[in-house]
Amino acid sequence: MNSLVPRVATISAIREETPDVRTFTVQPDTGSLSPYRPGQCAMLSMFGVGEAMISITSTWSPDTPLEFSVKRVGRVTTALHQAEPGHKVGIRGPYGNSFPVEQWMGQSLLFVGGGIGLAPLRSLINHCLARRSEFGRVDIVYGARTPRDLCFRQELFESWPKVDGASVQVTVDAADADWQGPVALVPPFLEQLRPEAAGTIAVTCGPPVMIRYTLEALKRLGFPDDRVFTTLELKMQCGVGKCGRCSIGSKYVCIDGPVFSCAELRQLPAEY
Amino acid sequence: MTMMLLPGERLSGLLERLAAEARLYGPLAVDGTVVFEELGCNPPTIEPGCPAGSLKSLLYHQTDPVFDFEGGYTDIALRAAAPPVAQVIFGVRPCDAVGLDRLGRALAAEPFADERYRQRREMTTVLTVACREAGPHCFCRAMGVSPADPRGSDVVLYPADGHYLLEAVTPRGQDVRESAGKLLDPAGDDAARMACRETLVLRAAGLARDGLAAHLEAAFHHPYWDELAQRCLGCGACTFVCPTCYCFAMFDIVRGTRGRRLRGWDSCQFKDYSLMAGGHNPQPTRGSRIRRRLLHKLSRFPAIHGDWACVGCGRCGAACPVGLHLAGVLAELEEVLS
Amino acid sequence: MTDYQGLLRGIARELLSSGQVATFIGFKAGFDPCRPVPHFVRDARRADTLIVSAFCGAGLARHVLEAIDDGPVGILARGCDGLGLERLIADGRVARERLHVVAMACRGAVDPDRARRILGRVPERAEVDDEGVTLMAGDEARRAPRDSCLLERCLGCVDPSPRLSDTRLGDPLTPGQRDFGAVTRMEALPAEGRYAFWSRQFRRCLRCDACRNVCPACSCRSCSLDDPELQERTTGLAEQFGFHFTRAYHVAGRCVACGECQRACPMNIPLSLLNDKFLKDIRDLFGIAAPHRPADIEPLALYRPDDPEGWRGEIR
Repeated sequence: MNSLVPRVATISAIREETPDVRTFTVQPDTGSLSPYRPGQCAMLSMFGVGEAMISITSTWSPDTPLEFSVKRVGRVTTALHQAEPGHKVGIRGPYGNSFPVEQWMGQSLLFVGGGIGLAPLRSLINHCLARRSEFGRVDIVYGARTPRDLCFRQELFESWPKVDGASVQVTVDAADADWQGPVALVPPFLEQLRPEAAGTIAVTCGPPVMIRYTLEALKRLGFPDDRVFTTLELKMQCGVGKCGRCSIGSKYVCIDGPVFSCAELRQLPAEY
Repeated sequence: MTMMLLPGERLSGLLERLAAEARLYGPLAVDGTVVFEELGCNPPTIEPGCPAGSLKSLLYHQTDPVFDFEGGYTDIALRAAAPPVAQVIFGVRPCDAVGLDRLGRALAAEPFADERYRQRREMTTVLTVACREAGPHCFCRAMGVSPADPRGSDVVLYPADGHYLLEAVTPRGQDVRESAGKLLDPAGDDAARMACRETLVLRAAGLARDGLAAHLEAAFHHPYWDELAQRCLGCGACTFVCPTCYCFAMFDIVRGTRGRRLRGWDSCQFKDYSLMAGGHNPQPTRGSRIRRRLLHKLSRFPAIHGDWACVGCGRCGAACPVGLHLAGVLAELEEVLS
Repeated sequence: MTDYQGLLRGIARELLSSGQVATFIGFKAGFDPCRPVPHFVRDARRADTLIVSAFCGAGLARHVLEAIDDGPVGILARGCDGLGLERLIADGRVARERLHVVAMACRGAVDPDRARRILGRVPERAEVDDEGVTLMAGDEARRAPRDSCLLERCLGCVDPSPRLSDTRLGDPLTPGQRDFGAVTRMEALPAEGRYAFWSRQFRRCLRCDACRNVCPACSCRSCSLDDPELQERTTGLAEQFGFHFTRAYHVAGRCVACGECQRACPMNIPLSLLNDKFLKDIRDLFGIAAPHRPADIEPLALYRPDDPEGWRGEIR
């Protein structure tokens, strides 16, 4: 079978997260995606428009529906936002590496997310919380531009804070009249929280500029490069290491990424 | 492998036999420009150097359907593109044939082999004519390719006065030799092959090779790239004539309720190549794009696939409107960095 | 012969060291001795890397866009470059006062491929005059007719000297009249013949955009040919026709007939023939003697209140 041919799938549900982020539940019409791991992505097709690589935001189990949270940015994501339940999409994947969770057993976990960057983290967070006893503390720090731009509110404000030994801190860049919480950009907010670096793995996802300053903040907080992980996103056409688009040095984000440790990033040329 | 002799006047007989079994392509002068075309009953145009367009156009099409789709929002049916048909290509130059090896390393690499390329490669028989004379842009030897290189070829023909020496280098090549039957005579010697092995490639001289990749990576931040970029026009000529450039884009076309998804050549030299929907562009300048291309060919591709993504055909130099020749860049870098 | 190269180096050195220009654009020796390449000099001490030879074939006008943001630009200009600069000025891309034009009379540039075929080896030197071309390599020298070894874009040239000039290298040569013979011959073909001709040309198009990117009239910052909804990226014959007609129509009335598109085409598609068809029609329909020379009256780019067809959308 040609690896560029997607399987047809149906959008079974759509949930509005923010004014420009929607979560789509997607069910392949025949078979199912092979078990996917946190951090992996899939190519979503809008027939007649094109394809885009989207991180899988659900956590795999035999009966968990497949979910993608998508921000409306370009042509494909705009077409996806115009779709309704029952509409057909194409899907191929899962692609890419994943967070090396197995190596984190017994460690505390610090998740730092910004905006739509919480989508790949959500898959990882729910994976780790389902195996809660295998890890130490779980701290989640998340920020968005405004309160309206916070994704996954139910989990952020209800289910995750209730988990034993877990904390959730939410900030916004700019408050509205109803916002009672902190107002700060994620990197300085994180530094104020002074998370304990010893025995902790940090994972950060978000817009490029936020990742950049978060990595600097984590370094100042004493996190060594090999215990800090992030995901990269570059333009992709094939998702399978052929089209050339997403190469950084001799790595391809689509098959060698999207997950990189900060130590690995430092080995890569400045091409991302 | 045994060598056979093909007298010049029997070449058309051989081509006729080949055309009877598969679609026959070869270099053909069309209004003075030599390109790979279906030969029909035209004799191939064999000139020193290589045709303007590269062999990849016959195996890795400029645009190639991946699948068709038909339906509406709530029902859609996909139909995979028709499989390719058998083809024979006569008059390939050794550099182009080696180029297929490089394309294959990238496109046919598992686990996500490009099925379209793999199938077409399997359906293709390559008859190479080795070089007794280098073209004005050739620098194959600098890239480890010889004017008598048999890699990627099924049959190699070594030209001599009034005849070709014919060598079958693969089982498929032996089939060609057998179907040629009485058109071939036993060969007395392999002087023609030896002569091709000795063909002088002037342009290849003095292009340093030892530690080239590390040398180029060390020049990552050198202002030379931006100097080159001043004259670069940002077109894709170098990448589209290159026998080893394989970057592609996927795009959909729609006609009413039917549509098609294609994969088509794309160029890393285009300004929008790596531009993301949100506006981020990791290769925002021409200098960064030229550097990326050169580093891919001579450092990153070798790191991943074990050999250069350049076979020294020199088409980039011939095609570039402002004379950006890969060999020239190598020579200049040597100067700039020392 | 006048030592244009020595004079040019002196002029460029003076312009750069006095600060009159930030960049001087000319040619330098290329990797290939018979293919000099466009060259940007920013340091007066590097002025002696500039060369002038019969192989200087590329157009330079378009390269001004790459340097003009860094300050005033000095440029070596032949007739074609001069027209290209006039085009960029007329299109508002470059201000006249930010250019210092070193105007050089040009009798045509040698096509290195044609010259090699004639000489049987790579030519090292060449001299072009009104009667013919002398090609030289080693001790060998051969005379050849102009039309056998000049660049195609130089054969139909009627503008050997630029109209713009701040400094002159040599006396200006007299401009001529274009005759559009190739267009007339093409027009004489039946429709099927023309279709077969252009099909044969366009089907080898690589869609590399060299024709557009080299063109002094194609300086739009955002181009419809890059928009997948306006120009499909498939390469069937219909889309190839669409691409080339779009390109030709978009420069119609502004084309300066420099022939750079055709020289830049790696597949040698005769694009000048398309441009010339428009130029000939403009000449014949509007009575403009030399429509390739930017002028105050450009029929396809001009609107006047008394236009017989009115303004777009106006009900008459």
